Amino acid sequence: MEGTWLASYTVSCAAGIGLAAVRASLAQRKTGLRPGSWAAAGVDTWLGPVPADLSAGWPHSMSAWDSRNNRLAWLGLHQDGFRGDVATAIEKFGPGRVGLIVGTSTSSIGRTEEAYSSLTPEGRFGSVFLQPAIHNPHSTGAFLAHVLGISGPTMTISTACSSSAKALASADRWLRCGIVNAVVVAGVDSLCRSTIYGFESLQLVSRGLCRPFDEHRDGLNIGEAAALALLTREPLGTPRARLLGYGESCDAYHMSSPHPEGIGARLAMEQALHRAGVDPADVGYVNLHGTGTRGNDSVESLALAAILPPGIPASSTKGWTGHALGAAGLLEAVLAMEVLTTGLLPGNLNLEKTGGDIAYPVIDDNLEARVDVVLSNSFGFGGNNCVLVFGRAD
Amino acid sequence: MDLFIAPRAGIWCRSVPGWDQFCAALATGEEPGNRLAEPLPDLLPAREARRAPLHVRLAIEAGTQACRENGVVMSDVMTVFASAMGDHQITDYMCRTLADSSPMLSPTRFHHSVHNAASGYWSISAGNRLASAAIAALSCTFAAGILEAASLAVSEPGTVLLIAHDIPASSPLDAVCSTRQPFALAFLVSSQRIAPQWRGMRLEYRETSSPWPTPEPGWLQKLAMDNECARGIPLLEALAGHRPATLAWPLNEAAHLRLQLGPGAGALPDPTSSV
Repeated sequence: MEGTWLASYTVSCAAGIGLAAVRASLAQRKTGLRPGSWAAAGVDTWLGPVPADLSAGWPHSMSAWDSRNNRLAWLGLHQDGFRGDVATAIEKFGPGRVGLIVGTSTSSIGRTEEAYSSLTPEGRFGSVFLQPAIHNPHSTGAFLAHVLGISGPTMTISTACSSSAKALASADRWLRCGIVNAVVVAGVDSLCRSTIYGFESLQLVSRGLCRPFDEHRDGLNIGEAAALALLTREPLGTPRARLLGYGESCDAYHMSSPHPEGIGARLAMEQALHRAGVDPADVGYVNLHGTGTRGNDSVESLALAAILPPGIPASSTKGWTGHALGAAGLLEAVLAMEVLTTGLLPGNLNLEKTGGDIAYPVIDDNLEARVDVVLSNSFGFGGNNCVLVFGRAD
Repeated sequence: MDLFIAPRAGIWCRSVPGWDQFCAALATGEEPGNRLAEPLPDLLPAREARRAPLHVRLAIEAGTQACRENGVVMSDVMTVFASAMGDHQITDYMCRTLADSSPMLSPTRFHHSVHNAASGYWSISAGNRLASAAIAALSCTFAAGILEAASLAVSEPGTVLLIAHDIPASSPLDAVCSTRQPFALAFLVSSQRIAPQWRGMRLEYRETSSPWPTPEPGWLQKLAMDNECARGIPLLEALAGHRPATLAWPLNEAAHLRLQLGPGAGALPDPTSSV
């Protein structure tokens, strides 16, 4: 059958390092969010740091590539046999027949922040920060291509919180156009001052735990994640899922607020379902963008109500992971695909009473069901939207 | 991939404000002597144009030109925004402010810090709800931009606008970034021949090394060294010269993108390869 295969994937986020740990957190409904526990942030909020010492496995020989984002990518790469699966693809197709697309919003900006906080008396970067490969948006793309030995086309997509969802759409096009035989897609974003203080300046940060779709929701918790996937045109090994379709749109409304009627979100959902050839009634689970801000959740529920028949299980997993920003698209695409494998539908965390403005109910407890088709929503600043549809591999 | 490319492009650099002036400068071989003020594209409302960062204004200026020069409606194009470094001025503001122990960031400057700020402004100003990406790939940013625009154009009905734009770095970022001049270019591609003047173009990914394409006059060579996006100037020269051309941009030491441009207003003969 026609399609693009997910030959392999892995995620590392606040809810766990690798798929087994994340599955356990989801099953136990155990959040990975912690009160303001990341050292460099003075903002009163909860955050979703990965539960790992990122310096532990980082090789000192790679100081030219050193940044929190690249350390996180390195950690993620070594979970669930992912690096070996990429090596298998390179062996089968050749290093030039494998491409790489990274979706990230922060890239290594955290390292640039560090450089600015310890400028020399002349106002220049200290010598340890003279890393030309690091202080730019493609830092993690160049790093991953280097360590994986990929010599096919490599690029970074950075469209805020839809970045790594759109990376999957672009990878699908590269494969269908026959440019390469396999594409590694990565979503990597890491905690840094830019995003914590930035969202604080927009008054979008919750003082407590984020509560997507709740009556008393008051903002998001910023998280971090490394999500990686290997996409192929032909099945490779035992594929985990198939990418059936994607939809991409813009709101044409505002830089940091969603369109009040969710027009862009609706366009992306419609296009994704149409491309996938999936009837809306056949969707078995929706992983929502569900950030926990007043605006996003209300507007997203309007879009859902406009596109989907009532009663389809839908939830946000940000109560476990926080908002991993540019990595959220692929992180949540993987959590949606996991439903195809495990049959465990994660019910929204921290939902006590659904907000009166929420037009489409979300599930508040875990469900078990066999599901054939899942949807994953990602919406970003600039009104940039991407929706993905996945089906079972079998 | 077989495509068509619009015959005229958008361009802005310190001495050339648009396509006709670019073609005229090519004819003389000399850089025009004037030094232009930063562009204030009229697609943006006057207040927005003054507030929008240079990185955004450059992109909107080049994109607006490319659409108007070819009679293409700005709300009807999918877009790819390519920038190797993003907005240095905003990066500098953010990092300087965040170095403070209790920083107060401007919310407007924070939302300008996303790599897709120009894409957002374009969508809002042009009323465009179609797919839009913002990409980066260091020295291969222009090549990745064409690859992304072309794969989008052959996968979807409609026209794709590629905008490539970068602005110079000031201290201390100039120590880790080589962009020294502002530059933006923009052009349109489609899988359909939108108008008779659109030229056939074939893009192939090849697993061999290639040198960079070099612009003709010295001042354009300098520009191509000073801004990653100006690596695309040889394509603009071939469009301006109404001549067939074969160009190549390295993707890394082992691979490149090869672009064949057909003769003016003619389809590319004998497609021997679809990729």
